[in-house]
Amino acid sequence: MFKFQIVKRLLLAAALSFSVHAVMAQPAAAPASVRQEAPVSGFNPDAVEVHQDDLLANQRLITGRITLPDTRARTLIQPDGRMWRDYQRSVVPWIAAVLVLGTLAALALFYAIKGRIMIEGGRGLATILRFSSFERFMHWLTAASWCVLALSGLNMVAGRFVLLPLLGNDNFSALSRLLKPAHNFVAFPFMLGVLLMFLVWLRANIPNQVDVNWFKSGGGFLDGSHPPAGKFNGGQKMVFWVVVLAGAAMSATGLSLMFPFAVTNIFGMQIIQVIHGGIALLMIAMMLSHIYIGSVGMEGAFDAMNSGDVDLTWAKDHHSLWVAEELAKAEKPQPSAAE
Amino acid sequence: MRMFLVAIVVIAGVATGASMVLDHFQRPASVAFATDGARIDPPE
Repeated sequence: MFKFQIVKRLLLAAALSFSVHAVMAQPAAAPASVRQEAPVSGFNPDAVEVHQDDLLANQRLITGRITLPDTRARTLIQPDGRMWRDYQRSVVPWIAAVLVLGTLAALALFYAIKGRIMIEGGRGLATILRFSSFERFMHWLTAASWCVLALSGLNMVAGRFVLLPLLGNDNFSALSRLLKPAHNFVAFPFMLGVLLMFLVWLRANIPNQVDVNWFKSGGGFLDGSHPPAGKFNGGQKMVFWVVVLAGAAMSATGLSLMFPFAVTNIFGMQIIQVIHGGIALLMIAMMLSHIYIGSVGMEGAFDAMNSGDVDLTWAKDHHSLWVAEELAKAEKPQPSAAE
Repeated sequence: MRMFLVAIVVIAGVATGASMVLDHFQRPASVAFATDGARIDPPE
């Protein structure tokens, strides 16, 4: 009886051992049923058979297991990042080319057709102070830093297509390594300039009926008329609000990108970067028009930001209401100290 | 153009100041992503 018990236990142990080995000796290739039993998400990364396309299409993050304290390091692939990268490399350069080159072409065409807008009757002897030293300073603070930001930003977008073939790998790499930190650091004087302009010029840039009439007459650009305008005409007010609002948006998005993961995750940062770049390209196109009309496009306009004194005839042509206000102030008797 | 030159100097100053302040918050990748078990050589 005792011997029978021992034999029985040995047989049971042998059977269990065989079944365990049979399970462990399954072939490496899983049957098709493994994939059919996948979770609701449609994909099981632990399945023996893995299709890359399915993996990339169905997973927001493909992660592994790590022991590092920073759990973000466990992400091996972010499939959405491939879409973002493709957008940056194949779509954004075309958008940049269309906006920048299209704007330049439109301005060149306008110049070829209309020529430079001249002061009617030519320059006179009298001048009037249009912008104080501080106003010109904050304008150039914003403008010069914006130029650095625009050029360094365009290098990120299209440098590999435009400059790399011209400069070669080493020079392009050296230039890009210089421009990237410049983009970060020069952003701060730009933000300071936008803030100063907002504070100093806000009151003069509040839209009113005069601006509506100015836009209705096309600013006089097409028929050569001079619609009335205050210190800033409708077009200049539009530029002001674009700079302030787009500058604020660029600053907020730029700061969030300057401190990765401080505000949002990788997906959020990609969205923010797309917004940052899109606003930047629109702003570049608009500022090209502003630069054109403030320099080669109109005689006498550059004086306003150069010496600050503009030709009185020019001022009466383009800012008649403002000139009237200034002359009225000058003619008004100043109260004496005794009063 | 005097104000333009003044603006350039101020831009250089503010940008330099910003770089010094940011250095307190930002670390190079060779430092930020190094651990006890993994060392990353700094860029040449």
